Amino acid sequence: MSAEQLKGHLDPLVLAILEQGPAHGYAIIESLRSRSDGVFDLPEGTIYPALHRLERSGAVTSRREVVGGRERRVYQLSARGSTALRQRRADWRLFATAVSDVLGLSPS
Amino acid sequence: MNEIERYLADLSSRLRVGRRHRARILAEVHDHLGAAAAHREACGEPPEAAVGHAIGDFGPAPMMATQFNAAAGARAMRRAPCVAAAAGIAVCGGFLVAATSQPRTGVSGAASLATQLVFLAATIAGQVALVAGICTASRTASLWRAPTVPGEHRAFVRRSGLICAVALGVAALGWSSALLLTARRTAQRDLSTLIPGVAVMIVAAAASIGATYHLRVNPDDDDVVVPSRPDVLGLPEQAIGVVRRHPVLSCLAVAPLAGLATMSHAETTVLGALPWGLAEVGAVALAFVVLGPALDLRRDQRRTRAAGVRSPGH
Repeated sequence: MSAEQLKGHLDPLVLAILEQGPAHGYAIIESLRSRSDGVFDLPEGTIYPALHRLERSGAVTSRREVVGGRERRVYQLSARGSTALRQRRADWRLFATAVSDVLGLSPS
Repeated sequence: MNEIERYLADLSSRLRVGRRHRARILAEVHDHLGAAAAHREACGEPPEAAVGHAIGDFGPAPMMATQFNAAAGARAMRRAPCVAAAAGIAVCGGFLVAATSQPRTGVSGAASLATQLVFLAATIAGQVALVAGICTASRTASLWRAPTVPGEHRAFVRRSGLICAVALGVAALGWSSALLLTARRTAQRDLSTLIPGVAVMIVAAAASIGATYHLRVNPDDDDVVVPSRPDVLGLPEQAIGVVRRHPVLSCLAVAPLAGLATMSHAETTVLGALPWGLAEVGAVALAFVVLGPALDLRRDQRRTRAAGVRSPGH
């Protein structure tokens, strides 16, 4: 799946990964790849504008931390981010159900 | 210089963001590439190939710079109405301080015709600043919650913000000149409030022009548009949309109202105030024709025809 297709959905995906616990950019992109079985194989750098955007909106916070002998910026889901993720999940459920109904993919 | 440093230098040269933000981006990208290369090396790749693959997986520097620049441009765009509002408040405050403490003769009471004309021109410039400021704030508000903002909107906000700042500068200069010229002809003037008030007006307007001019909205770095749901912040833009759909009608409605308002402020008889009202009506119509396309209040018909594009709603 191309980065362009994924762009509008990247923010909730990142929030969902951070729900598991704090992580740095490289770990987030690795997790995104492995949890999607390699379907979301987007350029790794695209994660950073999304992380910066989420941080500005207050959905995630970040701090510098030494990870594996390297100083890295680690991102963490905030309370606002948790709320946003719940909302995006509800929106997605509604959207996916509607698309499935229209495409005739719903189990009936 | 190794391959990672070359990549960072290339990325840095393409970034159009603030110094601190640039440093943060470069540090994060450096960390990421180092970690990715180390991971590949641990999996058995030769060091040079590991670095090359890490950079390849990260994405080309021009593409990454575009994404960072677009995000920074959206943030800069959101500062434009704040700059305009702060400058507008400072100029109006300066004017009130300078004008209200002077003897109550009114501008027309002690001023020559030339001074009154300067005052009228400044007031019209102030009105242009107000309209441009509303356009700036309205467009910014409608995109406030959007995750990404198209380059054309960022360019519009900077353009309208700049029109607002320049018009405010003209207004500040005109009001200052009118007040100073009037004070010269008045014996009981109060320079202790007049000079600071005028200084505040000029400095605020100049600072606003400088700040708006230097806003890095990066309109050429367009990002993928992520749709956002319409909300209450988009209502002013919808109201302006009515003006855009009916430009002639809107101008015909606003110009006489502005003329009547000016006449009601002129300290003379109705007949004496009529030229000022007519001048205001003419100025509103002229501003609408000249600045309307730049402020997106009306479509430039010649350009629209030349581009072969039909107006929305037709």
